[in-house]
Amino acid sequence: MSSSIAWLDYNTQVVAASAALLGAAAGLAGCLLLLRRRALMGDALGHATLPGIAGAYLVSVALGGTGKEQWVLLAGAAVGALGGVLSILVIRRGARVSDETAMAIVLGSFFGFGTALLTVIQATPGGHQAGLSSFILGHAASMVASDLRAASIVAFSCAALVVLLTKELRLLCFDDAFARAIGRPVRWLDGVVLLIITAVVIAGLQAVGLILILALLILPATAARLCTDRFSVMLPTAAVMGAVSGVGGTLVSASAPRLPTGPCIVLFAAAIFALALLFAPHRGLIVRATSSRVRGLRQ
Amino acid sequence: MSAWTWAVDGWIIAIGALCALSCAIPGAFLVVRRTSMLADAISHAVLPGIAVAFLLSGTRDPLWMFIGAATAGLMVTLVSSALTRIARIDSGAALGLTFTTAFALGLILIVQVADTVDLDPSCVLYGAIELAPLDSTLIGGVELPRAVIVLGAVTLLNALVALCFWKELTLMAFDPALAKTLGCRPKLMESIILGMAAATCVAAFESVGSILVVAMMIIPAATGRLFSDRLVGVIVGAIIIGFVGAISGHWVATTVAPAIIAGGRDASSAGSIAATLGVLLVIAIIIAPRRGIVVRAIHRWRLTLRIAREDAIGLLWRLEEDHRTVAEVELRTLLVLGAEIPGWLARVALIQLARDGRVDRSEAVVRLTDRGRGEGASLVRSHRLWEIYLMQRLALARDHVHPTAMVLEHITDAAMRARLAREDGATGDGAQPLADPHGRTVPAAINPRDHSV
Amino acid sequence: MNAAPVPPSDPHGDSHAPTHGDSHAPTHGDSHAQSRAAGCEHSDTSPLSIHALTVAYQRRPVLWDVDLDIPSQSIVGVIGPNGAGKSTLLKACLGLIPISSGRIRVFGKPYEEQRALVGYVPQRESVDWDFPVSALEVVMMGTFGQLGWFHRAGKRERAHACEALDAVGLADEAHQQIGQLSGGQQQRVFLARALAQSAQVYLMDEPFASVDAATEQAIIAVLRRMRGEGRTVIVVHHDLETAREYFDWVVLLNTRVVAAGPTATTMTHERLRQTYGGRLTLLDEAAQRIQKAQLG
Repeated sequence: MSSSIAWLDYNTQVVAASAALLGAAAGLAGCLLLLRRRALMGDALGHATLPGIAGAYLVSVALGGTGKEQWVLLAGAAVGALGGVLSILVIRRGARVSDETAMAIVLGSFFGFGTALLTVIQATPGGHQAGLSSFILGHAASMVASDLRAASIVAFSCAALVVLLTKELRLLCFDDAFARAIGRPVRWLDGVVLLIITAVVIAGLQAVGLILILALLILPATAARLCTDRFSVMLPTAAVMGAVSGVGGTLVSASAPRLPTGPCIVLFAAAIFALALLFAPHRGLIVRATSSRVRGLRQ
Repeated sequence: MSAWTWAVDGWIIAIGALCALSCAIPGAFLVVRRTSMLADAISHAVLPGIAVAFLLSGTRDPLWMFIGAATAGLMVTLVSSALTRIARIDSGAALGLTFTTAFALGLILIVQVADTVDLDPSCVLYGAIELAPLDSTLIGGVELPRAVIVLGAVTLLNALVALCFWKELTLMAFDPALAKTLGCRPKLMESIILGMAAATCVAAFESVGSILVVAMMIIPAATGRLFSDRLVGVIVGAIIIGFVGAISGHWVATTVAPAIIAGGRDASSAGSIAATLGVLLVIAIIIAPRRGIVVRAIHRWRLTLRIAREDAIGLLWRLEEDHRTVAEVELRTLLVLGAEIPGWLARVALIQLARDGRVDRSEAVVRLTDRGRGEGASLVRSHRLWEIYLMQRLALARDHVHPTAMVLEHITDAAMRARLAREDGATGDGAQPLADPHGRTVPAAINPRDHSV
Repeated sequence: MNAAPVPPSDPHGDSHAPTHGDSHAPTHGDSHAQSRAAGCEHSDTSPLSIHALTVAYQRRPVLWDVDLDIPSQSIVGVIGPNGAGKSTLLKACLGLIPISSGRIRVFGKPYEEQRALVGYVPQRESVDWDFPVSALEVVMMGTFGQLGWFHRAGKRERAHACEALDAVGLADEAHQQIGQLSGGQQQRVFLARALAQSAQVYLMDEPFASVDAATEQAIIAVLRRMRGEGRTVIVVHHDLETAREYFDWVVLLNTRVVAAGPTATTMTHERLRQTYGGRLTLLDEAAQRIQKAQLG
């Protein structure tokens, strides 16, 4: 009964629609991240947004603003994410460490810097009400119509980029040496991929927060990969799975009190992944187990 | 806060330093094994671990929390490696999806029990190092903060494990394949490293938060890597960097931050320490002794200068051979064109040569001194011997040998010249001078060591 | 001066050869290559001509002063021991790795202008065979070079790719995911992708590596047909036994070109010994010293 009431609730509709769009965009972006073998980049990017958000607040207040303008904070997040990516590249070269180590370094120090700024801000007058810390764990319930607009802009532009560049992106992910040999600018294409990921991470800050956005990026993509062996099928599958997780998670969280929306969306996506892991047509554990049994009996 | 109260700040720094100490060993192994993100995964898994432990045990007993968190950390790594193995999922993706799912679960569980117990997710993320000194127990008549006891115990444990399995662990870290053939059981060693990492993460998160644990484990070890190529050196470096980071990070949090941001109070010490560690790494990248940007730049600059000096001497010698002279301006232009160096470098090279008594630039034209002439002869000898060698041995075309010889002449010493001369077919007494591919005579050996091998 | 000291060309040094005279271009890069270009003209008809090519990998010389003029309409083997720089040579020709000095021309023009004429078959290990694409989709990637940005592959490209797959005998496997193919079949998919590029010169990196004998015969049959159609195929190879049978022309490579020419006259016992065994200790030592000096 409560879920049907929730379904009629205007706020829940806004949240569900935003989450669906966001999930779809994250599904698409996640496929690129997964196939380019940079899944954990999403985590480093997410954590690196925090000092950007806090910095944007401080700058805005210093310039006489309220520090609550959503677009200012999100612009700061984008700057932080960009700084994180650049730092990963610089540290990887300068310190001669692996990709993973560079990511862990950036993740730890950027997030640490962000929390230090945050504690300072929260002690300032008005700082506590700014609600900056809600970006860490997400606060979907506060989403309004303007957030829905932002989510749809992000989702549709990501989808448009991916559709326009499918051919190039597939080539990049599969065989970047060949892509370079036939004259495609691999660096620029990688830049486009990062741009898409950053857009999704920032759009997802409010719904699921900067820690859980990684899950929204890779759970649908990995589940879709288990279900199909074709790039052109994997992308829409992941998008649909992401959208379903968004709606499903929102409804579940609305159906009972004290179920935060972000984690619910992630767990919904995890459930879809678990189903795919078990029942996927070729790669599913059950199919593989039975086929190896059959093979065993034949021998 | 302007002055530190040692009863509080002293303990905070001590806790930070102990954290660095305990993290150094597992951190070094994670960095050299290139599995740094495991620390991130384990530390995020702490949240569901303590939530489940609370649900099952019904208490906030630290021991239960510790067991729950450690189990969750290990579970996440095991599940993700199983996903990679069984379902062929990319290892990074498997790790990422496992720990984020666990984290989401932890968040929901914690909200469920929030009424009965005070478990704050943000406390798990940032920790509360500022409050840690207040939570103390009496041990042997001395009042010690609990965090110090826990971290001290884990540090001892890590040191003990590392001492017992040092040989196996180092071998495993650098060459798992060899380790296996030598019967070192790499799987077991891998589990030991994971176990150390998990125990350390869990012990540290309470006081410093899970994100500082990632920073503490990975950043000092990566920094230590810049200073040393040996595992012991990496660990020692990591400990020192961790100490410095703890002290300066806390100083930044309590002194610098309130001073910069008006009306603010102290910043989070844990966060500041993590950020400071990042800054220390960047500084190390710039000034590290062998791999630092500055050292490498200086080295490159000196190499360029040496080559420019040698090119100048060689140039003057060849001009003398043709009975030609050159003014300093002209010589500089030739050097700039030939060695592709900026003009001021050519100027510095000539100043150095004059200072060392190799050239005389007091007159209208630049001349070689006797000393410079001797060195020029050796240089041109190297050059022409290499040209002969390259034509004879590599069958390079006559017009191809010059640029290669131009490089090789700068790294050729007397011993190498002697061997070159023999391979080129020079007679022992040097009575019959050799001719280079362009018909020029190879200058006779001046340096007595040219005759010995 | 760049990060690595480039060979400083001597403005009026020892070389009194007519080709090395007065052109000391003070431009970026290597002036000696330019001055040489003035002296030696290469035939515009050679599918691939390489001039004074030097490649350093992490500042260690991997290829040293390589000069080659590949004859057209032939199957050329690049042969040498491990670490001789065979793959590096191909990658340098394709612009995949930066070259220290030298010049590469495809039918007399720089590679960048002639990209469409050059096909590439990378080593099989270089890609993730678990990637979600079918054999046909991989082969269609060969047509992307001619296809502009944002254009989708259409019927024409599809038909072209099917033809190529048919040519390597994999028409029935077109819709299989590439991970389900055998190693030999995967190699043939790469070959088909190169065929779909409709190039004139093909650079193939170890196409015979770990394939079964039947696949090897199938591949060599395709290469011969390509030669029959007037194309040139350059193959990195390491099996001396089959080299005599497969190649019209060979390049014996060990950091430098030991010999290059028609197979029968070039693959002599003496030359092979030079390629595989002949170590130039002094030069090796010098190379190590250069590396050490530059790394510090």
